[in-house]
Amino acid sequence: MLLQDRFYKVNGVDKSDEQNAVFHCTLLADCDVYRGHFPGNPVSPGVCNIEMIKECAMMLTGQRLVIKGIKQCRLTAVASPAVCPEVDVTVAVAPVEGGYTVVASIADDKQKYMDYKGEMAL
Amino acid sequence: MQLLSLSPLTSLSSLTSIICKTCQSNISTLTAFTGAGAFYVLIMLYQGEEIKKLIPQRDPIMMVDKFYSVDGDIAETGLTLSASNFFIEEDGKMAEPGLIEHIAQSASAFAGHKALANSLPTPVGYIGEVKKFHCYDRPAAGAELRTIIEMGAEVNGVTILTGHTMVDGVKVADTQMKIFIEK
Repeated sequence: MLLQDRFYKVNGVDKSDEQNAVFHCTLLADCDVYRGHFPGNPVSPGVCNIEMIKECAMMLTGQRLVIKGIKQCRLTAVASPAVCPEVDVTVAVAPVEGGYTVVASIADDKQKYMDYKGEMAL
Repeated sequence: MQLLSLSPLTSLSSLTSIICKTCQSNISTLTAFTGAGAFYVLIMLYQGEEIKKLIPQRDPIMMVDKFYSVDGDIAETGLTLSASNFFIEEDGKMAEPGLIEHIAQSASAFAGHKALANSLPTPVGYIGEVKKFHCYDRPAAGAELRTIIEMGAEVNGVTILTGHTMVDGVKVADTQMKIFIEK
């Protein structure tokens, strides 16, 4: 995992079945990415949130996955360790040939930060 | 990449003050070579440290290190993918979100180039939406990423763009994107 325990850590998982889970995560304020994104103004890069979704999908499926395509990913609010130190990553996977379709979102009790729909390959 | 074809008699010293039409800055990076009986000059508008004039991102997440050219709504950028890049995974290849960030920062650099032309500060851009992204191959450390960005219309600070990235002439990724430029 590229960003687990670097950009975020997983505090707990609520797994409703083999294809659906909610990952309770902390965004790590001391991640090195904030030195550059942006100096003096730490904002969580949207692409790091996408990678976090991918890694949660990997934990759910127990498989190494690569993002083959993103149908649509909307970044609905600016996330940062100050704004949303704790977030829930909700992931639903459905098997397709060669991988999974993945529908996911990142939110806390205040708002949603990301909506994601795409395909990940084995 | 812009190619200027010059007469074989033109000497490099007469070219040292090429000025960018858009931003009026001196083009500092010139490579000259001869071939097929002509004398060519490769122009690169910005590279390395100069990219910091265009985008607000800094190490470890600076994902553009060359800005080759602008032609209307199209710009060409590049990145030499170092082994220490933030997005390089254990297998020595880039995680797919790194390609999205590279394309987004390429668009941001394009906006930064336009801002420089108008003596405005470096704009901060945020990704609003990624749509129809495809990753065909994950580039390996050492790869030279070459990216073409085409900017569409801007509405209320949101710009729609398309971008694609090639490595050694083979497409590795393409996407549509909306970016929000903070003014």
